[in-house]
Amino acid sequence: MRQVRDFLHHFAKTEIRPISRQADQAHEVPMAFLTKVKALGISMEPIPRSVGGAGEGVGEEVDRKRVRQTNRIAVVAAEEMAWGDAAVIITLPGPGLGGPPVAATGTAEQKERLFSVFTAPEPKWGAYALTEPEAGSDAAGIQMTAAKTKGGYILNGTKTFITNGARAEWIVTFATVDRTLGRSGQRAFIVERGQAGLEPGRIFDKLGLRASETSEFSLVDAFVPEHNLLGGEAYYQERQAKGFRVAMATFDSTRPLVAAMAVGIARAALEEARERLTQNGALSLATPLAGATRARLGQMAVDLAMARALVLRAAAMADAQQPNAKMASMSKAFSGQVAMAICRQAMDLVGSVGALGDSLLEKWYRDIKVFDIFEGTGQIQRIVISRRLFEEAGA
Amino acid sequence: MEEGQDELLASVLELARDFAEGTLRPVNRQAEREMGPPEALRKDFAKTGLDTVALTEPSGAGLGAAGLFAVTKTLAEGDPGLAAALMAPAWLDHLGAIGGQEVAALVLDPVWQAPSAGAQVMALARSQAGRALYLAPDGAALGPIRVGGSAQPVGLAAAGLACLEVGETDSLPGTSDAPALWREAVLWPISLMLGAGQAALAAAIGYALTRKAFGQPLSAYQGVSFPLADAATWLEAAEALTERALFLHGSGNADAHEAMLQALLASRQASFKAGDESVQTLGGAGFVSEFPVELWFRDAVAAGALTGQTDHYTLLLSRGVVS
Repeated sequence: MRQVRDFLHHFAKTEIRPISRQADQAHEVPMAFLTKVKALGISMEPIPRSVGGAGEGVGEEVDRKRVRQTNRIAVVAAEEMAWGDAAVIITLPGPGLGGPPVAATGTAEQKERLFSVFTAPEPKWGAYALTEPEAGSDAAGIQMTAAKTKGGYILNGTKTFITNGARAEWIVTFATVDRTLGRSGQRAFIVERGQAGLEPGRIFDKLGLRASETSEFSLVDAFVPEHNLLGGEAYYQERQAKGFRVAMATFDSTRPLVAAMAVGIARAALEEARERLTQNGALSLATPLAGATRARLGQMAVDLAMARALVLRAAAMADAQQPNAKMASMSKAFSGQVAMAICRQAMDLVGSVGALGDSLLEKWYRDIKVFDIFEGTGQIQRIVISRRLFEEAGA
Repeated sequence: MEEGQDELLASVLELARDFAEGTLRPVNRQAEREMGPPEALRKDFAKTGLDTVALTEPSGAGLGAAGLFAVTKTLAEGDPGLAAALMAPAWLDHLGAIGGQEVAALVLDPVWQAPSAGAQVMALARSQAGRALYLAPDGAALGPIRVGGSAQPVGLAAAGLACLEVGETDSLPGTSDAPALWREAVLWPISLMLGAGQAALAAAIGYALTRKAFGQPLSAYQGVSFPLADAATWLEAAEALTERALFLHGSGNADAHEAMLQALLASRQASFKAGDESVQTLGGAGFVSEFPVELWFRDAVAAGALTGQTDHYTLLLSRGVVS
């Protein structure tokens, strides 16, 4: 684990951080960097070895006690890479958020076909489309329809806030076969690049993570063949009333990752503030404010450590194959808000110069907000946590 | 405020509200990109006469710092960056008249009070070339100021803020009554913070009333409505503190400085809370530039950052509490 952390920290420091500001200003990650990363085999999501990928990626797949540690390695990697730049790593080639549902529910043929895309030498992306203009946190209320027809489905509707959506080779897209069925009517489809009826929409300007592409698209009478229903018909027939679980199961594995990225950004901000304050003498005991400033830095470090502990616990539960929905939500809810507070305080401690564009502190401050929004807002995490608490209490 | 001035201020603010809604808001993104107001907007603004609110009659409305504060805050509810830019000359004139110094840069970051070579602050520095206001102690040995280019601050880009950097030699003039000057100067960022917070909160409330989730408007959920209620309460409290501080300042009360310190800290907290909760209420829509809430969220924190590190003010306040 230590080797993984050291290797990725070195990579983040020498390869990612130097392009951070440039990528933010250009609203894109340089293709030369992405091509280089691709050649090095670095991806945020595992590509199965069966299709020529690197498997679970860097590091040993089991720890000294022979317990799987892939989730723990993933969160350590996410923290280190986000320390370099979160928008850059979200843009790294690979299946993205589309990977977990394909890995969890895809048929053998689908896994082979969809993951093999990423073994090509050039960068390729996958994506995940759940949110709609009128259904975000209320994911069960999605309106995109999927009407059964001969040999497949006709999809109609709009998806929004799709990371890497405009460049994706395929997008895991959620639609409902019957709105009156609620969650059980939902299905996950694979929408491929070049799909007839796929109409690209806007690419958004954003508060932060500007180098990451966030887009929308519409499907207008788009015919999606049966073999692109994720898991196939049999999957849903065997799991009546659980169609929505495909969407939710994805979050159990990705929320700790997102939380780890928030920890990485906050750590970067804390370190930058400490360095600047050291340089300008603000931490010198001869300075009237030194005590207050040191105390604040100390509290920020404690908060950060608490967030990291929750992230690792959620990942460890996943490694031990224990249900981790509550812990995943706790890690996400806590890390999002703590990281936000740390980034804000780091900018405050440095003074007005921290708000200027040549300081990464102002960028991290803009980047961090969305970590309390995407992958389920802070409010949604609290709903998940409180429901589990009530369930555990026998309610 | 003297008799009759309340009515006068109300009519001035009505004009400011119309201008904020109808003229500022439609061009705020353009102004942000161009890092300054469009020239046509400056001309339209000059016709309103709102920038003369502090001048004595017959040149202006004679409403002093209280008038400047109220007008700037109201304009900031349309767009804080543009309000900062358009009202900057009026603030600089007003403060220059008090301080008896030439005014080209409004510097509020305490770092500037005892700068070392290379120290930098964000300041309003390009609107009135050739005139300068420095909130520095008398006789402070400060180096020459280098005005850097507009450095794309986290917010208030439309204000044309710049980065000032201290050099090695020379000195800057002090002011005869720095604390009194500071009390009025700090009203400028406070008005921008409160305006930004109010703008964001109004947008979030509108969104919560119309956007549905799980079959009901967001406003029906306590998880959404309570944080907005808290944010509104914080903004009201901060504004009330500011008005009290203004009153104490105007009446020469010895507690005026402490009250203004409290108003500044409260405004920073309240505007951040309002911006944060507003973006949160809109969710993904709050994070993208389709809605201006993310802009106001950035503006609020940039306006706060103009005044430097909060611990500086907390320390000053704590000295008063301890003594």
